[in-house]
Amino acid sequence: MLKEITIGQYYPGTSILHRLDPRVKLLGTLVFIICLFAFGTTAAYIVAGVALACMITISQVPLSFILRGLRMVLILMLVTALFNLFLTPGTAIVQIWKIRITVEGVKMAVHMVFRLSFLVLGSSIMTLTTTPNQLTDGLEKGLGWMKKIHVPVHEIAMMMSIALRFIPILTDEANRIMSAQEARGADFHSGGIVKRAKALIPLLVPLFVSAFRRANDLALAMEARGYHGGVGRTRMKPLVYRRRDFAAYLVIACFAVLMFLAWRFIHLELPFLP
Amino acid sequence: MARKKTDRIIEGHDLSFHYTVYDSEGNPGERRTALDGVDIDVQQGQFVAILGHNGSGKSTLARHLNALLVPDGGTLYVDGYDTLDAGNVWKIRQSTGMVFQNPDNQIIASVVEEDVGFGLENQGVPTADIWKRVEEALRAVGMWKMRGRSPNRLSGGQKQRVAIAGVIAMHPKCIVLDEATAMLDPGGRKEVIRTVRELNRTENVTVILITHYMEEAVFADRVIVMDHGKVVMGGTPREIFSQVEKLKSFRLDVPQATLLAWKLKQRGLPIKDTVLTIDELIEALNHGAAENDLTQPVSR
Repeated sequence: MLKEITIGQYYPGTSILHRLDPRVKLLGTLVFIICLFAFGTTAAYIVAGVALACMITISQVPLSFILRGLRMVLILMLVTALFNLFLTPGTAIVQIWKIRITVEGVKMAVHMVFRLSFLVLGSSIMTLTTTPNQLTDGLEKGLGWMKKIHVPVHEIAMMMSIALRFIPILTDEANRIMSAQEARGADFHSGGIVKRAKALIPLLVPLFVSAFRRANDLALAMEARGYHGGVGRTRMKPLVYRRRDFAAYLVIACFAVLMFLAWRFIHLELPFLP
Repeated sequence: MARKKTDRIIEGHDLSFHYTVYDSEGNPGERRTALDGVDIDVQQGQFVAILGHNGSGKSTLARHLNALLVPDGGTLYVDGYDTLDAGNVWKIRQSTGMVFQNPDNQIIASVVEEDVGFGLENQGVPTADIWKRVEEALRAVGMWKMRGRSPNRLSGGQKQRVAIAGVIAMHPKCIVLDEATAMLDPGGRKEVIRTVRELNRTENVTVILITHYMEEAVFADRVIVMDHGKVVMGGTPREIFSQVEKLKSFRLDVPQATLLAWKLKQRGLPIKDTVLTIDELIEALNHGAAENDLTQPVSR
């Protein structure tokens, strides 16, 4: 039951995307997401779709692996599509009793499905080609400027990487506690959702206690090894921009410009497409 | 900040420390004595084992050696630095490294090599030097081949060796192992003990081994026995383990071989000296048998 939790689903590889600086990938994803929201026309989405297809090809991650990410949001996508389909006012195409489907509704639904799947695919390309550690490093360095406005960037990044390190340990521990309680007659697998949620409480209490004990030990171990915050720290694997990273920034800029141009100047009139 | 000139890595005099026990409402209750007038002197390069049952104060003492705790009374100098002076804390932590009991709770990074580099990053060592020292340290504990692994995929003994590498990468003069073998299987315990003995011999690193496995203390230059926050015995392993009855009064055992030899001796078998290891026991039995022509020579 707990085996399914995977965070930072990294797909090992050596493609150019894997080797890019995590800061580039973070910014690229951010630009991609902003463009999707800002330039919401058919022409712009064709540009985004082509760009996405290129990235997937370059990343060398199998398509089935990437599409797996879509499965998680399938229900969300269905619900949004249905709501848009039935609840958008406008010219009706079909009307049965009080339920009506409008042209605008269809357009909206199609638009939403594409936007959501592009969002998920775009960000999963980033997480698939970046290790969790690189990601936290990238965040720490990339958001370093926020220290000036008193955001504890180093501390947040440190917490994230420690959390990532302890996920498998705590998962193991949770499984152990579950087995121990099942051995004494606890039942986690039957009954309604309320009953199952209630059954988890006796699991969570010992898990929290043990997590706090671990945290205490870890704090002691970190202190013993001279940890005193981010000041005066050096890096074993510092992030250094290479030429390919600058090239990638250029590609990202070009993409944003293309999206803008497509949105501003190309107006495709297609039936049932926004 | 001043450093005392000395050849003794640890010099503690009349140390005392108290814990305050809080009740369930969080009110401070009685004060429990964890250390009570402890004197400890360790020469650079020695291998010292500290024995004691649970609650004897041995872990509290260990935490003092790294300035994680500071004494309520008495003075403690580590590598010549007074632990009571808050300005010395980082120097003390560099000269004395600590390995803790639970291997999972002291590994910080998700990759072996990054964890070994963690202490060096904290010290602000330049990147190129970090890599050099991480390689040295991982080779010294025999974990260089595993440098790219996730710590979650290692055995307990391997995790503790990574933790030791993380400490020795910082080039400490002294390593304190605070029951570092308590959660390991016998194979893992041997791995860890072999590693620290090797470091002690080749690098002249002072090792302070806190344990309740008597077999591990046999290899030490000196054994210190603690009970109720006091140092109650001190000497070479042979001197300590010859006093079987006294050790039992502190709720401690002696190594199995020693105990067997002692019991045989009580039954009248002519075993002269204190036996520490299985090999010595075989030697003694063979010797005794030959001298008295009692039985056939015993073989393993």
